[in-house]
Amino acid sequence: MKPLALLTLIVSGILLTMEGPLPTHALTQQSAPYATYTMGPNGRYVQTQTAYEPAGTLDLTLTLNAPEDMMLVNDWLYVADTGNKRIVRFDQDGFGEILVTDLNQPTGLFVTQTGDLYIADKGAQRVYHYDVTMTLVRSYGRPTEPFFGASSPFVPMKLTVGPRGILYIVGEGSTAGLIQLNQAGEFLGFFGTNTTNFSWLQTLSNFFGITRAVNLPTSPSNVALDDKGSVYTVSPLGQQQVKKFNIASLPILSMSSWTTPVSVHLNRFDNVFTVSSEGIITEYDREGNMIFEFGGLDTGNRIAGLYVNPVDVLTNNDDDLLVLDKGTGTIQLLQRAEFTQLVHAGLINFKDGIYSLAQWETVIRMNSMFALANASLARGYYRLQAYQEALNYYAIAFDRGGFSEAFWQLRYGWLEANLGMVFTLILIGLVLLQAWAWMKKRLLLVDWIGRSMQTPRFQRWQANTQLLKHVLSHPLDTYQEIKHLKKSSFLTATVVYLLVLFVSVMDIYGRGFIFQSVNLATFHLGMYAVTLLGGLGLFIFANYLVATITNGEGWLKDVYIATAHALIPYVILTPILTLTTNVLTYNELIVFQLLDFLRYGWSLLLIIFMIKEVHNYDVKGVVKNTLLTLFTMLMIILVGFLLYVLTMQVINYVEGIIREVLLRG
Amino acid sequence: MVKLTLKWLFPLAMTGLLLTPNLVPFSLNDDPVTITSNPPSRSALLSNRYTQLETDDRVVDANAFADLTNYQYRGTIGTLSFYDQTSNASFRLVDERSGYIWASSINYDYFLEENSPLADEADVGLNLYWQNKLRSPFFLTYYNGLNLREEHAFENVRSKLTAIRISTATSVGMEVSVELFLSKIQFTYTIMLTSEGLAISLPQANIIETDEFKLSSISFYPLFGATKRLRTPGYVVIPDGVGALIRYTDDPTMGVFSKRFFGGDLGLNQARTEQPLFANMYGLVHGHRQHAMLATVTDGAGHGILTHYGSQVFLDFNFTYVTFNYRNTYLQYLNQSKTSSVSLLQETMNPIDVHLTYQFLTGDQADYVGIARAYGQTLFGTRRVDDRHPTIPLHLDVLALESKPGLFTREKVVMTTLNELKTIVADVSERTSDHLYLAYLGWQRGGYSYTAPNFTQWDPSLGSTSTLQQWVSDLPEATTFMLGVDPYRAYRQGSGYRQQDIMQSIGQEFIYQGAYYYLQAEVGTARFMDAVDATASWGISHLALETVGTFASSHFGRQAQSKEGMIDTLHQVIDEVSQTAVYQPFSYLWHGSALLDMPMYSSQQARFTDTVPLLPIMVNGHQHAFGRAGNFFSNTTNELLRMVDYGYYPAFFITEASAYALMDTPSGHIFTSRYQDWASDIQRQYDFIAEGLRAVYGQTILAREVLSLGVVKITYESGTAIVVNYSGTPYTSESLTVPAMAYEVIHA
Repeated sequence: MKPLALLTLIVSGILLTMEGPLPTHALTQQSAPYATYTMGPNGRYVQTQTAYEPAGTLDLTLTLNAPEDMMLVNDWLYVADTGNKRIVRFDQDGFGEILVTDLNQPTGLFVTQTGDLYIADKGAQRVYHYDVTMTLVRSYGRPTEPFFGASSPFVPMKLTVGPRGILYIVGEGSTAGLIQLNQAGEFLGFFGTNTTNFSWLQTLSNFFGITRAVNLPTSPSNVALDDKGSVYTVSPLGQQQVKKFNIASLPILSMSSWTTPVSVHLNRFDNVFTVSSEGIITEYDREGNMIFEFGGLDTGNRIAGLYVNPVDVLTNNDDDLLVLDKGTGTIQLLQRAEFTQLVHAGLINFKDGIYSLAQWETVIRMNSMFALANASLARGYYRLQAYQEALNYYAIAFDRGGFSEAFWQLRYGWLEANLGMVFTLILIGLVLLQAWAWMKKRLLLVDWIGRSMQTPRFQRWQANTQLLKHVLSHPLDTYQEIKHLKKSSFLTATVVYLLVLFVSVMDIYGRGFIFQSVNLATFHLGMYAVTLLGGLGLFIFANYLVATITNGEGWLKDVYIATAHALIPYVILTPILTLTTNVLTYNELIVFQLLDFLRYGWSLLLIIFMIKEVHNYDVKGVVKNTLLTLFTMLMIILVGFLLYVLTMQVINYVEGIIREVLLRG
Repeated sequence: MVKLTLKWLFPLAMTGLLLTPNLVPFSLNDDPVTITSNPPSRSALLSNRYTQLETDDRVVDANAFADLTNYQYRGTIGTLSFYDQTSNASFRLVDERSGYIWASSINYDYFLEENSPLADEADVGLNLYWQNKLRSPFFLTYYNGLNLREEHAFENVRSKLTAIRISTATSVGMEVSVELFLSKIQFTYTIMLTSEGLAISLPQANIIETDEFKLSSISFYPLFGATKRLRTPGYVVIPDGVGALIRYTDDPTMGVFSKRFFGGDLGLNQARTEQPLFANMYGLVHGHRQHAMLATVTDGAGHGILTHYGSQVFLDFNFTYVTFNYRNTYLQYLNQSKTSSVSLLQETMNPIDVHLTYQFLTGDQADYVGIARAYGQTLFGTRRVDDRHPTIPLHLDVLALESKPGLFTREKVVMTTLNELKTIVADVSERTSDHLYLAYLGWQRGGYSYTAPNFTQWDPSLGSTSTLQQWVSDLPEATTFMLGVDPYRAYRQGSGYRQQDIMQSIGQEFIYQGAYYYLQAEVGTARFMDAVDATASWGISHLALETVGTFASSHFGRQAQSKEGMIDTLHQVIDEVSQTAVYQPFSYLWHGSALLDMPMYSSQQARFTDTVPLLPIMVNGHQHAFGRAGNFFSNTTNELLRMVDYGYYPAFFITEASAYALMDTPSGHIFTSRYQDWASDIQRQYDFIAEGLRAVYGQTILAREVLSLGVVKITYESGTAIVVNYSGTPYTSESLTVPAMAYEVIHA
C-alpha cells in the first residue's frame, strides 16, 4: 500500500475512534451502538448502513472462562475454554459438551472436517491431536531438527491444519514465522515470515559497521486457511497486518488497517474478516478491498455489539458473525443486514464471473459513495463497451487505472471519428500562421500598431520580457545582464513569482483525473501559497546570506530577480503539462514524466547557473553555496520552530500561573 | 516553430484548461429497490432488542417484606391509604383496590430470624451498617474537602430526625426535618399523599450547610418499591432511548444501572455517549398486570440520576431510586494544552427544588403500557392529535444547500432548489398523501453547515422568497412546510454571536462539539426568535428545531444557568412558539407541533432484558411522532414492522442531487438521499406503514402483549389491534394467521 493511502487510513481510523454521536439528526440513530464505515472514493472512509446488527449472545449451557479460540465445523461450535483448561463444543441450540479437560492453557484449536481435534496448549508448550472419539493420537513437542534453531522457542498459541495434514503453528516469540510440522511431527520449515525494516539509525549504523540490536521480524499472532490451502496470517504490525501467502511462503495479498487485528477468518466466498483488540471488525473482499468496518470496545455497560476483549471472529452458515469475547466469556451474534446480503450477492456473482449491473446499481442507490459498487459498475460497463458510463463510475470510485483504460477507449473512438477534422484544423492553423507572418511584413496596419507601441514604458516591458525569453536559450548571458546591466526589474520578477503560484495552482485544479495528485477537498489555497512563496523567499534569503559570507557578489535584489528568471521553464511547461494530462492515459505516462522532469530539471539547472553567475563562483563554489543554502534554510526553519514552541510554552506557563492564582487565591 | 510554441502555447494551454469539461456523476435509471427481507434470528428475538414473552405468571397478592405493624393509619385519599412511622419517617401505602402494600423501606427482620421462610439460599445478607442504613429515609453524600463521604439518618446517634404529621382535607403526610451530626447538613422535606399521588418535595431553600462540609447528593427512600431476589416477578421500566425493561434477576455480574435524566451535563464534563433517558420517569412492576408504580421527577430531573441495583449486585434486593446531584468535583485545567490541572469542588449547588411524584396502578394497567399511558396522560392532559386530516402523515427532510471548501471561500453545493422541491412535493403527495411534514434544511445563506446560529437570510441560489411565499400559500392545508433551524449552536469560525454568548463548562472551557459551540439558552432563544420573525415575513409559520432536542447542559461563567434552568427556558420557548417540530425531543419538548426522528432503539445494555416502545405509548394519540429516516435502514422490513408496532410515522431524508455531491461537505455522512432513487420506495414504505396505522389514527395504545417469540399484539383504545410478526415463521392462532415478517390489523 502506498504511504499516502496508509496515512489516509490511519487518519480515518483516528477519526473513526473519535466518532461520537453526530449532532446532525439525519444519521444519529443507528440500529446498532456503532457506526459502520465502508471504503468510499479515494480511500476515504464513508458511513454506510449498519452491515451487521447485534443479535444477542449465544445462550450456552456451559460457562466459559477467558476463552481464546473457536471454530465452527459441521454445525458444531468448538471453543478453547482457556480459563477452564478445557475444550468444549456446542450444538446449534447451545447445549455444551466437554471434549478434553486437564489441559494447561489451551489457547488455540483446529478441527478437521472429519472431526479430528488439534489443540495448541500454550502452557504445556505442546500441540495435541485427538481423533473423533477424543482419543489422543499424538502430542507434538519442540522440533528436534537442527534447522529449527537451537534458541527458537516452541510456545504454540494458535494453529491450523492444511492440506496433507501439515500443521501451521503460531508460536509465541517465533519471529521466523509459522512453524510447519507434518503429521509425524517433523519440522518442515518456517512459513510466512514477516519482513523487517531498517530504521535510518540502523541503516547508518550498518554503513559504519557498528553493531546494533538485531532487527527481528514480528511473529504472527494468528492464522487461517482458505479452501485452496492459502495461508492468512495476522501480525501486530504498523501496516500490512493481514497477509495472504502462496505455497512458496510469499505474500500475495496484504491488508492494512489502523487497528491491531488479533484474529482472521475467511467465509465461504473468501471474504476476509478480522477482529481487532480495539473491538473493530473489518470485512475485506477476496481482493483485499475493505468493505465494512464497525464495532468498538465496551466502556462498562456491556452494550450488545461492543466487546471487552474480543479474540476471535467467524461466520456461520447464515453468514452471520460470531464474536468471541475473552473478557466476558461470551459469544455475541451479529446478524447480517439486508444491505450486506446484497453486497455479498454481488461479490459472489463476481467470483463466478457474472457482472450484474442491476445488483450493483441497487447497492449504489443505497449508498452512492460505495467505492466497491462504483468500481464494479465501472468494470461491468467497461465489459459492455459502455466506456462513458465506465469512465464516470471509475471517476466516482477514484480508480485511476480503470479510468485511464476507459478514457483510452473513448479517446481512440473519438480520434477514429474525428481524425480528418483534426488534420484539417491543423492545416488551417498553419495557413493562418503563414498569413499572419505575411501580413506583418506587408500590411501597413501592422507597422502602425508597432509604431504606436513605441512608448518608453512599452519598450521597457519589451526588454524585460525579451530577457525572460532569453534565459531559456542563453542563461549565462541573461544573468550577466541582470547583474551588471540591471536589465530586469523587481516588478518583473514579482510578476514571475505570482505566475509560478498561478500556474501551479492551475495545475492542481486543472490536471486530468488520471494524473491528479492533490486531494482538492483538503487543498487549502492560502496555506499552499504561503508554503510555496515562503519556500522561495526562504531560498532567496538563505542564498543571499550564504553568499555574503562565501565571497558571493550578488545582491539580494539580483538573487531575487535571477531566481525568478530561473523559474521560467516551470512557468511555461506547467500549463502544457496541465493541458496534456487531460488527454493522456497511463499508456503515455512517459510523456507526462518527461514534461514533469523537464519543468523541474530545467528550472533547477537554471538556478545552479544563477548561483554561479550572480555570485561569480567556480564549480566548487557553486556546490558549496548550494549545500550551505540548503543547510541554512533548514536551520532557519528549525530555529523558527523552536522559537514558536518556546513562545507557546511561555504563554502556557504564564497563563497557568494566572489561572492558578485566580482559582486558589 | 519553437518561437511559435513559446508565444502561443501558454495562452493556448490556459484556454484549453478552462475549457476542459468537468466530470458529472453518471445518472442511473430508476428501477425500484428490491431486496429480500432478512428475518431476525432466534437469538436476536430472544435478546433485549425485542420485548420478551411474559412467562412468570405468579400471583403477587401481598408484599411479604412490608406490613403495617407499628405503622399508624393517617387517612385515605382516593384509592390510597397512608400509614406512617414518625421515628424513622417511613411510610406504607395501601392500594385499597388490591390491598397491596407499597413500602418506603424493606422489612429485613427475616434476616434476624433463624430459618425464616423469607430467607433464600445464598443470600448476601446485611451487616449492622446496612441494617441501619436501610432504615434511613434517605442516602446522602457530602464533601469533606475533596473527599466524598456518606451519611444517613442513623449513621450517628447525635443526628436528629423529626417527622411532623400534616393532614388537610385533601392531603395527608409528614414534614421531616433532618439535622445530620457528621456533615452538619440540615434540611426539611415533605412527603404528602394527595389525589394526584404521593409527592416528595425538598425546596433548595430548605437545605442548610456549613462552610466545612458541602452537600453532594440526596436520594429519598431508595428502597421504596424494593423486592427481594426473584420472589416477586416484575421489572423496572426505564425511558432509555425508546424504552427498556430490566426484569428482576439474580445476576451479580449485571452491575448497577445508573444514568442521568436528559443526557449528561456537558457543563459538568459528563459524557454523552449512549442513548439518553428521554423522559423524567421510571416505573416498577410487581407482578405482570398486578401492581405498578410510576415515579415522575417533576422538578430537578436535570440533575437527577436514575439508579437501579439488581439483587445480589450488592444486597438481596432489587431497588430503584433517583439521586439528586447538588455538587461534584471537577478538574480545572491550568493551561490550554491541559498538561496541568487542579481538582476543585463545585462552589455553588446545582439549583434543585426536588419534586418527585408517585402514581400507583393496579390490574390490567399495571404494566409498562399502563405506566407509559399514565405518564402521557399527566404530560399531555386532554391534548389529542388534530383529526382534521386523518391520513397517515409523512415527514420529509429535504436538504437544500451545503457547502464545501472552495478555491477562496466555501463553495455552495446546491442539493434541492425550491423549484425542485416543488416537483418533489407534488410527486410525493401523489404517491403518498398531502399530509406532509416537510422540513427544508440548509435554506439559510451559506447552506446547512457552518452557518448556525444565523437563520434570518434566505439563500438566493435556491429561488426567491416571493416564490417561496407564493408556493407555501398554495400548499394544501394538510401539508406543513417547515424551515429547519439550529439556533442553539454556533459555527466555531462563524459569526452572528459573541464570545460571551458561548456556553462555558465549570472548568471555564467553551462547550463545543465538532465544529460548533453551544450557545447559552437565552442567546439561542434570541437567535431562534430572529428566525421566527424572518421566516414569518416570508409567510412561513412552522419551524423544525434541530440539536437542542437532546441537549441541555449547565452554563457557568457570566449569566450562569443550570441544566434545569436551560430545560425550563427551552420548555417555555416551545410554549411560545408552539408551531415548532423538534428533532429527537426530550419529554419537556413534547408540546411542539410534531416529534421528529424519535428514538427507535434503547442503548441495549446487557442488563436490559427488553426493548419496549415506552415513548410511543406515551405520545401516541397526543402527538404525531415520526421514526428515523427510512433511507438509512439496514433491515428495511424489520424496521418498518418496528414502526407499525410503535405507531411511528414514516420519514425520509431527501435531496434532488445525488448524495455523492455531499462527499466533501460536512454532510458527507449522508450516503444516499436522491429523490429519484427513493421515490418508489417512499411510496412502498409509506403504504406498508399507513395500511397498518390508518385504522388507529389518533388513538392511544391501550395494551401491548407478546403472543409468541417475535409476535406482538398492540391494542388501541378503539379496540382495534395490530399483530406484528417480526419472526421468520408465520404466526397462527385460532382465528388469525400473520405471515412471517408482516402484520395483520384486527378491527374492533
